[in-house]
Amino acid sequence: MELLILFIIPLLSALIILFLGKNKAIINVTSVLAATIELIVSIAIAVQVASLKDVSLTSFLSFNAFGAIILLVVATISFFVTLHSTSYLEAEREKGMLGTKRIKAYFVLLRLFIFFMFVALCSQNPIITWTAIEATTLATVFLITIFDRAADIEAGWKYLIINSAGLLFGLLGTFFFLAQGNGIAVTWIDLTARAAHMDPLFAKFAFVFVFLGYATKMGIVPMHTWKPDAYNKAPLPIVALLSGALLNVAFFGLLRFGAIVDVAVGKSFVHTLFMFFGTLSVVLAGFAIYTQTNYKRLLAYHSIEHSGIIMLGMGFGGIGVFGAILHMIYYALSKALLALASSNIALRYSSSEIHDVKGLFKTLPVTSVLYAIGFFVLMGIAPSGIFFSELYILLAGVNQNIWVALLMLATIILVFVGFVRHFFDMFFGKVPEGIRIGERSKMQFVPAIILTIIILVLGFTAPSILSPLFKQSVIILKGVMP
Amino acid sequence: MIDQLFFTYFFVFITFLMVIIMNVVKKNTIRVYAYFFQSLALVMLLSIQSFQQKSIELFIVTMVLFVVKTVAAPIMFMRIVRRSKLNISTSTFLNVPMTLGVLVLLCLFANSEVFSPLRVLLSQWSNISVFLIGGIFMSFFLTFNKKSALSQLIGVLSLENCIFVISRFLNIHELLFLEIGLLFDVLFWIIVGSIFATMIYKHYGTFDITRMQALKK
Repeated sequence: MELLILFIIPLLSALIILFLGKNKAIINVTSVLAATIELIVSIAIAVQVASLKDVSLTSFLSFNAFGAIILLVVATISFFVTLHSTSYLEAEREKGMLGTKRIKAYFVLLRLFIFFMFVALCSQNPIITWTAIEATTLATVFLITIFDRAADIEAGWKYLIINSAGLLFGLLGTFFFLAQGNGIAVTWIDLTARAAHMDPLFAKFAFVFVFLGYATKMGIVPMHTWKPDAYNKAPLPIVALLSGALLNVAFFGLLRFGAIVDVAVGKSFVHTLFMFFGTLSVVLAGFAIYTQTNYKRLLAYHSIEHSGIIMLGMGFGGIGVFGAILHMIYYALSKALLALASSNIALRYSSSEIHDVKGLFKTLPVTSVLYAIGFFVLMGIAPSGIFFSELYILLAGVNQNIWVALLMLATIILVFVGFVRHFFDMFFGKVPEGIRIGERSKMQFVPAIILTIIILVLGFTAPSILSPLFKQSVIILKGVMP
Repeated sequence: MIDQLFFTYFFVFITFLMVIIMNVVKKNTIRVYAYFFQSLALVMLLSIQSFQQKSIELFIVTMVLFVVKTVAAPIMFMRIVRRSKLNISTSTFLNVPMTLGVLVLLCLFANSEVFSPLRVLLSQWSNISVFLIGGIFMSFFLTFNKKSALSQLIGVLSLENCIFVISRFLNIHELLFLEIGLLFDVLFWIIVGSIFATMIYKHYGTFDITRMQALKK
């Protein structure tokens, strides 16, 4: 029942907005109501999964513990993004950047985007997972280009072509996996059961293609080239979802294949691949962050860095797996906070260049504090959640490969120095002429304040439903059972 | 039975040949026609399989494929070509001799030992593996060698055609709704891609992606 509601609500709300959304009140109320129901239903599903109850709609649609954790993350970010978007889009409308028609399109596509992520998370069939992830590309590409400027179209085109071509290799790899059985409509469980009989060489071969596809969607180096441009041009609430939610959904898909290959060939193959590309992403993003002059692109490189860290955690194994799961949650929420705060800054300064943003403490007193919190939480300052998740990953790295762990630590320090440099540039100095002082409306910072409270609380303690989900997820990822 | 085998080889060869044509021709209209014939060859391959297996489900998939790939996509692309008067316009990053050289290298790579695990899985079809794998790589190359947005669209769709072709020889049996779902995804991709190509033309007055310099500014 919960699963049915989870699927119906985003679709129904998209239809209501599309056909009945004649004014902003209907559009906003429908969107926020839908996001609220989705969040409540997601919590209900997570509680059921935590108590080992079966949450399934058909044999192809059901949740496991790891999927439930990511579902909670996606629904939470979606709720805050929807809430924030109502005031953000109104501000853009006042500036003449958007009309009601485009605002309507924004919310319709947003709900469809959320729907496809839900499908990808609970799909038990690799083809459905792939189709849902590909469909997120189609839903988000028009969100990235919602302002319809020349540069937006360019970024959107790059996003569409690179992601589609990459994901097609993912589909090819999926076919290779499916070809190693003789049954019809294989589920992840079927594939895992067959894994022990797979030809190890072919399992590796198939995984390389799957990795290419899903890593492109995650923005792992060297398939990351779409990311800085897409993040630079997309509305910042959408960046929160791309970075916090979609990245995790794509990695979830990749890990499901990884679990199958672990059984077929042993853990070393996937772990080595994860460590190599994780390191590459962390190092390249670290240098890019240090030299960056655009705070929206900074968010993109930060996303690349953190997807690398998550990949490293999974690659190191052991306690690193637990660290990576924690990191997926903390990073997603902190990044959403930073993106929402950044959207207020972008609205006020009408620029994404760091050198154009000065005296932030004076111009946006509440937003600037929220931005600073997001900033330092994301940097892994103790005792934030990211501090602990990175610590677990580093500890696992010391056991697994000390040089990679040291490289990761050095990059984290480099990123910290680079970030702090940007922080001082943006927060202090003389406010540029013509920039209004003071927040625009309470709705622009209230959702971000609530999100900040959640992040800070989660840094110290986890709700009781998360504990069994964590335990089951670690078993799933280490013990290889989709 | 012999005829069916002959036609299977023939249609696989056609899909492969069309990728080469798409890579070397300059006219966009010819490229769209090549895509049409490639899709038609795929439809024919599926028709043979549905006939061999006496499968109604596969026949339905074939019909949907026919509508999506040989009717909807070419019509949309031809409309873009006519509207923007783009008959002779596609330049490439590499010239024709260099392009042909790369295509040969890609075929050699497709025939290399790297793909021996795949040849084992293709079993009786391993003798055409170079066409199946080579087509995939050449389509990928087409996507990133052409400077025209329309050619890039066709490149991605050709890549997708080649992946569909190889999947037919891997003995994968998916449920009807999954196959139809995949094809609807392709249809939406074609619609989104066509809208995007039109948006590019509206903003830049050309399909040449090298002229898109707004991000650099």
